[in-house]
Amino acid sequence: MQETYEIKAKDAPGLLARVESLFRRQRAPIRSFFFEGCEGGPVARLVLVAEADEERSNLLQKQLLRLEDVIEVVRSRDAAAIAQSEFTLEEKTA
Amino acid sequence: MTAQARAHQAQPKVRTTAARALADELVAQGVTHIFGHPGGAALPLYDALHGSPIRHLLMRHEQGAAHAAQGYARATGRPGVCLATSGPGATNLVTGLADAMLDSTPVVALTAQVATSLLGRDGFQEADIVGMTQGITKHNWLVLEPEDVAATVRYAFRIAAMGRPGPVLVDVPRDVLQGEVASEGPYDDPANIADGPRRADAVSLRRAAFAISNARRPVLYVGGGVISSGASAEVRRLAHKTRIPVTTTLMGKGAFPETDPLSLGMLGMHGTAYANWAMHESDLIIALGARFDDRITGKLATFAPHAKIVHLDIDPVEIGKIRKADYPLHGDAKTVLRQLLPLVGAPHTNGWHDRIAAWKAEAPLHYEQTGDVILPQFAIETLWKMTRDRRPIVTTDVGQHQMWAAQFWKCDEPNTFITSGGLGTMGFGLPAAIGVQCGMPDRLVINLNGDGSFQQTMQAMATAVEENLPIKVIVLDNQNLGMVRQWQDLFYERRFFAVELKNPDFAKLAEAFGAAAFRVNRPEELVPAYEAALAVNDRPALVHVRTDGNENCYPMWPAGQSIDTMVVSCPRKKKS
Repeated sequence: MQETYEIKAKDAPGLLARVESLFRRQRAPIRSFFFEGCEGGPVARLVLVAEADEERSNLLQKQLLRLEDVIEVVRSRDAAAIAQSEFTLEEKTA
Repeated sequence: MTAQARAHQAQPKVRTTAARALADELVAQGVTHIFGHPGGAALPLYDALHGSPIRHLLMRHEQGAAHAAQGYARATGRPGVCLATSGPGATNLVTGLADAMLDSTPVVALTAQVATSLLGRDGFQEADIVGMTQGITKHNWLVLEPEDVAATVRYAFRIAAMGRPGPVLVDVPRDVLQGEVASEGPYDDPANIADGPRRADAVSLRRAAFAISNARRPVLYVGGGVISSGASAEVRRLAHKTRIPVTTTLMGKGAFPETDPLSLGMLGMHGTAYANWAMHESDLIIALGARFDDRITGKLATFAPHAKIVHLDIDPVEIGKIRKADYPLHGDAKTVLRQLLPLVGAPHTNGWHDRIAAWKAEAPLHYEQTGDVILPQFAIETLWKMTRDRRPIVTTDVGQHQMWAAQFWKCDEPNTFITSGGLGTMGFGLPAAIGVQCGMPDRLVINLNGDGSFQQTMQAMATAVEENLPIKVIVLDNQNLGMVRQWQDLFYERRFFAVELKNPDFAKLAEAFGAAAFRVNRPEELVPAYEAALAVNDRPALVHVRTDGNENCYPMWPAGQSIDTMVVSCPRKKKS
């Protein structure tokens, strides 16, 4: 089951590796991914679409929040939100 | 900040190096000991530590440095500090950091890195230690600006100690250490920047209190989080007010007095049968700073099938991670228990206590010391009886002796049983004892070790001798990797392979290091040897005890199996 994770975090070295590592250990493959720095500040936004069941997804959210650099995690299983995320990714990366 | 730290800091500051600023920051953080090993990239920092009030212990392997820092932290409650050079020095820390991560131990690891001009170019002794340790630290940093070094270290101490404690690593390239920085302003006192303890919300508390007050077969399941939080007194008050029996995990040993009539001892794979039966039959498990590890639950689907769960933890990740929490309490154990105590009443548990008493009578921890061959349980319990009035702090290594120690070394106070729980790291015990003795110089420190595990970090004995640390090292020598042998015995049809050890003479070895040494081959020699070792106060003393190589550790259930597969005592002995 696909889920979107929108992560607000301090834009610090190693952030991507830490986030990816958590998804890898939970065997939640990342299907798409977008990263951008926020305007005028040290805060970054990551949007990931990954495969995870409800239990792993709950655990992932808590583990993400445990990372020192992560400020906020918003999850959505809503198909429209996932489509919107993917559309946004395509738009941003076009 | 200590008076010594204030005096050191009060010295006039001029422009200085980042290495010196780092050394000053360590003093400001109240660091008293560093466990380290120097090397090329670390030399600027070692030079800055020259003349520092901090005592540096020259460990003979960096794994030992990390374990010593863990021992210091677990005994004192303050972060332990280890220091290594780049490349192999740093990678040798990895096992100790992984151990500290799983056991939630506050450790600050400082590593030097190759110069920034060589970073990413496979320079001599370059290793990406920040990349390697991302998954086994709470956080880590590669510091690239001299001006950021001291502030990062200050932040690292905060992260290591706050919330659920754990290890952090700060990696600093050699040229950054040598870089000039402006003199530091006033230091923040770490006590002033630490977050306040987290409280549980009122609704969750009332629900949990109602469940506790109305349970019929409740058990308090107490883990290492209680010790980290300093909540042992609150657990005692809760248990005595409600008369709920208490079982502790390996990491929770000492959080509740094991000589108290309400104590069930340790639970889990090698825990007491009655603790495991009580958990299985319980209708309410009150988990305090414990994480439902697989060595506790066995087969999860059949674990405690009748129980609702109250789960209190500082780390929200742990709540519901393994077993659904019916009454989650997110917060600091000490703070939340103080909130909870006035809300709970004593449940009606008379029948429950009768049942537990019957189980205790049916399946007590048991061994029979007969004949000339020493049973390891006897060696451990004899020393416990001889020293219990001196409030010793014991460290163990990993294996059969660790489980027998967990069973027969009764702990009545927290921070006195220091062992490698989550990672199960052979080689932990001796260097950890060095750290403990540094942190608690007036306490009797005993390391219970096995012959296999002692040989993994025995070079730390050189440091203990060098520093005149009067630790007592008991090597229980069964000439085997005992726990592996036990599994081959029970689950691989006795096909023993790669477990027999042709050991050195440990007493001679200890003497060669400069320690006092005693040999024990027969049961009647134990007490005199222990007495002689306990009388040595100016250097380490090792007691080499030859024990039965055929003895297995019971109770036991096979990994991943349910409690009904538990073997309470040795089936072969029963038959005979």
